[in-house]
Amino acid sequence: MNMRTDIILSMKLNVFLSILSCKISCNLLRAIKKGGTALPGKIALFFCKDILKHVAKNIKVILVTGTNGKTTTCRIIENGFKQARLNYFSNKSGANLLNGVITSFCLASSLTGKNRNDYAIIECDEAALSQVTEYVNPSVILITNIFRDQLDRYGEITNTLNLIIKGINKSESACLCINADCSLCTHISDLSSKKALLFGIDQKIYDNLTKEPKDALYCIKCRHPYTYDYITYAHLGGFNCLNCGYRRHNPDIHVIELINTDQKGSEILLKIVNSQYRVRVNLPGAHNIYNALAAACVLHAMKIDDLHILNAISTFESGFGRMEQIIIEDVQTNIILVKNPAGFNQILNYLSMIDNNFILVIMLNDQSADGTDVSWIYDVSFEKLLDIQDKIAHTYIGGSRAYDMALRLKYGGLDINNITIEQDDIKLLKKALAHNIPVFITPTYTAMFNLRNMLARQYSLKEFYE
Amino acid sequence: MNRQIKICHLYPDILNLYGDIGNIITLKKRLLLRGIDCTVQNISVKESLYVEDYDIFFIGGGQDFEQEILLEDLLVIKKPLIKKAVEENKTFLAICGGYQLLGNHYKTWDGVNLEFVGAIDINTIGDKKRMIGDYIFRCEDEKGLFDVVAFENHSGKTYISDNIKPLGTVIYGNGNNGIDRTEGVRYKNVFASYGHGPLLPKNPRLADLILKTSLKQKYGDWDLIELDDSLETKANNIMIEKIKYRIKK
Repeated sequence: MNMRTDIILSMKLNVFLSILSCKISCNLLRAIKKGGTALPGKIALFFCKDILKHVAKNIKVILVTGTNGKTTTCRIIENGFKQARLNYFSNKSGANLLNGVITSFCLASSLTGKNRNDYAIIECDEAALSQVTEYVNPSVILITNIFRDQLDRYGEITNTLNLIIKGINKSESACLCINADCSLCTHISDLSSKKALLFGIDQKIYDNLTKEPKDALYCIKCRHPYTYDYITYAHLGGFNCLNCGYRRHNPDIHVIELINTDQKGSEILLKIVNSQYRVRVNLPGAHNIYNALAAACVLHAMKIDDLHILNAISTFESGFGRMEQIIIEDVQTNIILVKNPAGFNQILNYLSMIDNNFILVIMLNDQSADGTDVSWIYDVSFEKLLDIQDKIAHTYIGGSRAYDMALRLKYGGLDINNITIEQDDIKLLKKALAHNIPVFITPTYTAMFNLRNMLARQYSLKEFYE
Repeated sequence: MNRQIKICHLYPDILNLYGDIGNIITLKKRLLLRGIDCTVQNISVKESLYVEDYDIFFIGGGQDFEQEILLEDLLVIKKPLIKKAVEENKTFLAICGGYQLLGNHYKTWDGVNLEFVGAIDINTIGDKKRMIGDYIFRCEDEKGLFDVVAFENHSGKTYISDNIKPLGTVIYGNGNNGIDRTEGVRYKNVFASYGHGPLLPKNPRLADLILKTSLKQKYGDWDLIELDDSLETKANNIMIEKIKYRIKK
C-alpha cells in the first residue's frame, strides 16, 4: 500500500517538475526577449519522458499537418471555435515540432497536469506527426496538401508521405480531413481504415496559371501518368489515372462554383455536405480557398454549426507573415512568408493580379528552418514576373543568400538594373519604404523572424510570441 | 550564319528535382548573350531520341519513386542511344541521379543490384547515411584551376575506375564517396557531378567550359566573349568564404 502511494507520488512529482520547469524556462526566455518555444519543451522532457501523454489527457486535439497552409488554416479553425464559444488553446508561434508542441501543452496546463481547455488546435510538422501521435490521441488529423518542401530535411516526397502515414497509424480513433484534389493526400486516406472527410475545389481558379514543375505527375498507385479534368494550382485538381482507375474522390466539403476572385479575396459557392452557401473567403488566392475549405472540413468534423463555419471563413484576418498587412511610415506593407516553390508560385499568381505599381522585396535565408539548400528557388517561376515588370517599380533582395536570389532573377531574364541587393535589414526596409508605394515583402522563415524583430525594435510593432 | 547549340533535356518531367532547370537556363542565357542561338528540346519516356540532332544532353536528378518509372524506357530504348552519344563525343551534363544512371550499376543499401546505362565505367553503392551540405571542389579549364561551390545531397557512393578522370578534387565536403576526395566524372565530353540543382549559375567558368566543349566538338573551335560575371563571382565567393569560415570554427 505504502509502495503504491510512493509510485503515484513519484509519478506525479516528475509530471509536476516537468510542467514547472517548462513554465519557468519559458518565462525566463521571454523575460530576456528570446521568444523560445522549443527549449522549454525539451526541459520538460528531461523530467518526464511521456509528459505529453499526461498534459494531453481529456482534451480533444486537432492536429494540422501538410506542406503548406498549416498556420493560416489553424487560425481559421480558431476563429470558428471563437464563433462557437468553445474554449481551446493552440501552439501560436509556429512551434510545430515535438518540443514546441510539448511547450504549448505544458503552458496551457496547471502544475498538476490539468488543462482548463476542452480543445487543442495544434499545428504539427509532417516529420513530427508520429512523435506527437505516440502520446496524443487526436480527434481529427488534417492533411492540408503535400508538395516538395525542404528536401534537405525530409528527403523525397514519398518519404514525407510515409512519415504522415506512420503518424496516422499511431493514432487510435482520429477522423481524417483530407484534400481531395491532392492525389498524394487521398492516397493516404485510401491506405487507412479511418473515417475520412474530404474537401476540394470542383473547378479551375486561374486562366493564366504559373508554370511550375509538378510534384505528382505519375500515379502514386501504378505509376501511369495522370490526366487532369482541370488544375487549380500545382498538382492539385481533378486528377484521373486511366490505367488503374485511381481518381479524385468526391469531396464532402467543396467549392462548387468560384463566383469571383480578386486581390483581396474570393467569393465562392460552398457546399457543406448537403447544404449550399454563398460566402466570401477573406484572403486572396487559390491557396487560401483551400485553407478556408480545410478549416471548414475540420470544424464540420468537430460538429460545429455551419453558421459558425461561414463566419469563421468570412471574418478571418491574417497575421504572422501570412499575407499580413501593416502600415509602416504611411506605406502599406505586406509580409508574405515563402517556404517552398508551390507557396511562392502562388504568391506570384497573386502579385500578377495587383493593379497598382509596387515594390517587391525578396529575403532569402538558408538556416535549417528555411532549408539549407536554396536550389528550390529555381523551381519558382520568377519568369512570371516578366509579364508584370512594368508594375514592379523596383526589386530589393536581402537575406544571407541574396546573391543566389539575384542570380535566379538574372537568369530568369529580369533586368538586373532594376534590382538592388541590400543585406542589412534596416537599410533594406528604409530603401523599400522610400518609394512611398505599396511594398510586398516575401521573406523565408528565419528572414521573417529577423524582419519582425527588427520591426519591433525600429517601428514598435508587437513582438511575435505575444 | 549564326552558330547554334541544341540542348536535349532528358526526362525533364521525371528527373526534375531541386531546380535542375537552373542549369539549362544558365547554358542558354550564356549562349544567347554571345549571339549564339540555342534551342532546348525535352525528351521523356516513350519519346523518340535522335542523338545526332543535339549537341548537349542534360540529365538531372530525381526521386527513387520517379526514377523507377523511367528505368524501363531508359534500359530498353534509350540505353544504346545514350552510349552512342557519349562515344561520339557529344557533350553531357549529368547531375546526381542522372550521373549515377550513366554508370554500370547501382547497388542499393539493402543489396538490390540495379543495372544502369553503362556509358561510363563507374559504380554506385547506396548507403544508409546521406551526404548532405554545401561543398567545394576544384576544377581546371584552359586558364587554370577554379573552385566550384555547390550543394550535395545523395546517399549513393560512387567509385570511378582508375582510367577515368574526376570532374574535380574535393576541397570541402564529400563528393563522389566521401573517401577518395574525387568529385564527379570527366569522361570524353561528359561532365557529371553530385552538385545538384542549379550547379551552373554561380559557377560560370564551369558553365563556359561545358559550352566551349560542345562548340569545339561541333565547329572545331570556340570563341566566347567575356561576360560581366560580377554577380556570379560574388555569389560564388560569398559561399566559399562562408564554408571556409565554418571550417575554421
